[in-house]
Amino acid sequence: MSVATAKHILLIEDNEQNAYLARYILEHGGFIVSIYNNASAGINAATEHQPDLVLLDIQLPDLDGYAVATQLRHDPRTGHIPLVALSSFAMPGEKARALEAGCIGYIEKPIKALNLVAQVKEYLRTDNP
Amino acid sequence: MDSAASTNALPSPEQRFNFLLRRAVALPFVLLLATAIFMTWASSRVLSLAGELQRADQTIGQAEQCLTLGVDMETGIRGFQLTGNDVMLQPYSEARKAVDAAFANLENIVETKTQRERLQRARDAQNEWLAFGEDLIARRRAGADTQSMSLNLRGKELFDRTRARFLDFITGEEQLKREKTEEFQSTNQRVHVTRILLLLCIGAGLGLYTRRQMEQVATMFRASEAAARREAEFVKTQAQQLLEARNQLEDRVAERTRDLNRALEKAKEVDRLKSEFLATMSHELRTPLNSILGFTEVVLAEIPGELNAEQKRQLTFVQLSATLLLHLINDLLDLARIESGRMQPVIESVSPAVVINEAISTIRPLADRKGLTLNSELDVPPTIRTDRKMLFQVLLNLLANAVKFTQRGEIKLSSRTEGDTLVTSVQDTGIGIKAEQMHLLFEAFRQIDGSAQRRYEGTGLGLYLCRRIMKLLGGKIDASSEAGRGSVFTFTLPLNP
Repeated sequence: MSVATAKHILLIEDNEQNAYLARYILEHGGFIVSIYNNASAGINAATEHQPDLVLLDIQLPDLDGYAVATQLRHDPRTGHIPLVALSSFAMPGEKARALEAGCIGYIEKPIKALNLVAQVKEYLRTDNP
Repeated sequence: MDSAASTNALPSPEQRFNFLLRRAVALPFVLLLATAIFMTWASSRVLSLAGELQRADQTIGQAEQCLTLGVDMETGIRGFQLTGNDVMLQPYSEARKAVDAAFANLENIVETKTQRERLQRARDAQNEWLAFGEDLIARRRAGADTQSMSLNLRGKELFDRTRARFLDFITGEEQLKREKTEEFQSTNQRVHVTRILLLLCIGAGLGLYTRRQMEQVATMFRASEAAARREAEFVKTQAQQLLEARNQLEDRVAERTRDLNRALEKAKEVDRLKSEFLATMSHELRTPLNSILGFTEVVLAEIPGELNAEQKRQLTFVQLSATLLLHLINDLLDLARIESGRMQPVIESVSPAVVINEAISTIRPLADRKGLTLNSELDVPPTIRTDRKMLFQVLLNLLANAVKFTQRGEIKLSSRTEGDTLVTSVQDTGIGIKAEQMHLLFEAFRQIDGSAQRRYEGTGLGLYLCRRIMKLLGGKIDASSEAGRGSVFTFTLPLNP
């Protein structure tokens, strides 16, 4: 996979270890990954860098993931970028809420590390057939 | 009650009223009767006095007639004396005949002794004069001279005496008449005065009496009014007390309601905090587990670099422990959800065969790894009404348990329709359960054979969760076992709950 065609994944995640894990797996899977540890920085980066997909942790220090998703969805500059929620919330209705807020997918933590790359690829394919 | 007691002690107000009324009528009636009697008596007295006065007048008249008759006789005698002619005697003869009758008449009507004596004396004097007169007549007839001075004087003397006695009688009678008249007048006056006095007395008495009666009636009225007032006061007090009691009750109810509402609010708050806590805990526990499991998986996959055998072995233990921890967290979460009533079954049309096969394929790798046979025998309807996820969870739990506690042999799942239920059982050839431990099987945090260190990984919550889920789905779960030979877990679900 050449660098020119590598997809850019923007990860908004406040837990350092988990962010590193995801980045390690995804970079190993051939993606370009940038990490932001709070919602506002993430939203700004998404607007500025126009990533191919945003992986969004639901619990963030400044704003919850649903609000971030809603904001990105309703901004014309970012409305086209696919969003995938990444959450360790296991309460019923979490997935539905995420989809309602405009995410196209929901990945539950703990992640299946060896499946993540395939999952992300699948979401990219679904969004851009 | 007080009023009842006082009614028994005194005559009833009605009785008392009747008594007063009778007295008020009777006393004036008696007085009226006495007055009538007195007036009757007084009238008869006045009448009798009037009669007496009339009689006195008669007596005087009669006496005066006697005097007139006497004058007539004297005139006759005198004429005869002068003339000697019998014709001249005629007034005498007529008067002589009448005078006896007049006397008799007088004697009849004269009442008092004094008057009778006076009359008698007048009569005597007249008789004496008459005897003298007759003697004169006889002498004149005989032709004797009767014109002598002495005879004339004697005759005049006798006549005057007679007249004087008559006048005496008349005077006496007039005296009597005056007396009677006085008595009549005084009686009349007395009657009059008495009548006025009586009327005044009666009036005053009646006035006083009436006043007293009125006072008594007023007292009674006041008493009854006071009683009525007391009664009204009593009723008012009662009503007041009732109202107060009601208000107190309402206050208390309101207070209780407030307490209950507060308790309810508190319970809701506690419940909200609990689910918030659960969500947070779950999140906070899963976040580090994500790193542990993720990095372990990556390292075990030798992505960062090759591992030696011992490193792999040890890292596998990390992975197992972390996985167990994750299951424990998941089970605890499910348990909390069930306990709080948050986990509600979603009833839909479910194909039992599909769900069972899914569970078997999930477990099959584990069974294969231990060299166990995993078979199924299905005779099930195309769909039943139940919660798919819950059914899957129970099946997975029972199959995982069977694999976990069986070292060699077979695990067999059979499912069939019995009446309007679906009966599913998972049979193994594992270590089995001792009879005395069977009752602990479906309790929370109990793993049979807890004497030794846990040889078998698990949270101890699986079967308890199965039992709770079965209850939610309207079914039941049961087990039978023979230690050392294996166990059978059977659950029964309604086809259409």
